[in-house]
Amino acid sequence: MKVLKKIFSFRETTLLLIVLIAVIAIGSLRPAFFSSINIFGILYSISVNAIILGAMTVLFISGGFDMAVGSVLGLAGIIVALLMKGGMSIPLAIIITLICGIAMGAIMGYFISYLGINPFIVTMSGWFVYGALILLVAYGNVSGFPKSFGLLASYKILKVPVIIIFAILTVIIFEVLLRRNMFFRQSYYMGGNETAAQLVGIKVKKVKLIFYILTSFMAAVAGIFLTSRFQAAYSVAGSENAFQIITAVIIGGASLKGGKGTVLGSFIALIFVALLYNALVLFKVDLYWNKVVIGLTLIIAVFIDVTVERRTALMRA
Amino acid sequence: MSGNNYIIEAKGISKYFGAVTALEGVDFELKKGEILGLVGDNGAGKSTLIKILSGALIPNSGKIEVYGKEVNIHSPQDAFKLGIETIYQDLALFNNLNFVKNIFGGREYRAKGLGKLLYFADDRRMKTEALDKIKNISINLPDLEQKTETLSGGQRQAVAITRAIFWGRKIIIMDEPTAALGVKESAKVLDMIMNIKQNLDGIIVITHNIEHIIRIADRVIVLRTGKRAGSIDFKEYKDRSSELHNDIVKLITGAELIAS
Repeated sequence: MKVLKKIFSFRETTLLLIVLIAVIAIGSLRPAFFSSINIFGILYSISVNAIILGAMTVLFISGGFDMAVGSVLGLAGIIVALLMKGGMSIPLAIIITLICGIAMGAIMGYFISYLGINPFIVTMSGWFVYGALILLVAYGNVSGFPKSFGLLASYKILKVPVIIIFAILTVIIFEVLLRRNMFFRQSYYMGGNETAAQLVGIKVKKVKLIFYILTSFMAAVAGIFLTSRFQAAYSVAGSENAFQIITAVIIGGASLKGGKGTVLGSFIALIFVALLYNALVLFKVDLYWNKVVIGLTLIIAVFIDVTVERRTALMRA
Repeated sequence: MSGNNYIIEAKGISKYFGAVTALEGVDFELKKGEILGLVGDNGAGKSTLIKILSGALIPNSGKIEVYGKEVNIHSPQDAFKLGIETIYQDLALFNNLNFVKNIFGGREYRAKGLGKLLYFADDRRMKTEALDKIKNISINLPDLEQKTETLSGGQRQAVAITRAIFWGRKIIIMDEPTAALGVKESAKVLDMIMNIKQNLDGIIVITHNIEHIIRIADRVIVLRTGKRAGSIDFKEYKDRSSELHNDIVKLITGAELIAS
């Protein structure tokens, strides 16, 4: 009994159970759910988000927030496509795109950690500005670059596309780093009590900046994979990713106040969010209602987060 | 400065906030091995003086010696390095983390072998050392895996004190340690302060509560409207605690000035 109680005290276990129930429910009502085309569609969408998920979770735990990942992803996808179309070699195009990703994160991170501007405001501006840049450099889509670039996402190892393997590896690496690595663990201290973190010698500003850079960098990686997967870069790519990722991170157990969360929790929640999106498609829910459901999910997740916070605060008082 | 056994000695400390005088020419001394009470009414300058000693404020004039050496305390880190730690009411703890993580926050031990390359932390070693230390300090804590946010006010102070002692602080300043606590919990914290005396060179306790300070302290320094009103050594009041109480109140309120 005690062991069982301990297992269920982890949010991850409950989430996993919910995911299983959702799979069974959706699958039995809509058998098309189990078609390989549908399953791979879900896996692909999870993969792109999962690449960014670990960094976003670290950022949330440290008390940060990034609304701009979708635009960074989209812009990176366009940049890599344009560079290759202009005749640049694939590796060089990828490297330059990654540097652009780092720069995008560094700009936002600098405003947040060194100028002390609220992350909501900064990353919302980032979302707008980088999003506008996408349309300025390429309206519609960019294609016509070497076919071999497509292999980056679609090359299969043991019948599994590289993008899925890469995504799972990213999740595992971030999970391990956050648990054991001293640099990443600083996020829990910063999110728990920033003043205290500073007092015990954590270089809060610098670490924060690096976390923002890392998140944008991973978003750029995801953007490169997305362009590779579609063999084209679309200007609308990434428009919903930030929303999905943030919803998953919050449902997964991180808090807007910082200080808690795990990559594993975020990942299981991400599967749940992907299932929800998929179910809305399978049940042919009207596109606008679709967005209502997704918006409500985020609000409910935040509501649960706030309620739990309040309960612990009351317990202490 | 030989001859006395002062571990902190401040002379002529003044601090102004614009036109407001918070402290004027205050002398302050902490003797080795003592628990010193710093008392005074609201606005007497207790907090300002403590903030100066802990590096949160820089005085306009005056000099400070720690262990007989003149020092400049310009930041909390400076105070840290001198072995002084201030434990505030809002406690600089990581409420989202457990006891061991609170002890080692920002100063984790690095793992050996393969883990060292990956910059991993050595969780096992940190846990053993923290447990070892807590045995020596005779502080009671419940479940060590519990997040500090679920601990009581007294237990949270215990975590903060253990951390200070673990990292070799020799002088601890406690700001209103019993202010937000009930009777039972206050008694526990007072016992704890007396227990840790042997682990430290000196303890400064700021409080409003005269009963509490009489129970634990060896001496008090009283501030009144930014000046030092006086100091009372408790040794001179053996078994005359009501008289001691009255004399402290007199110094706090300035009643003896009116009387004389």
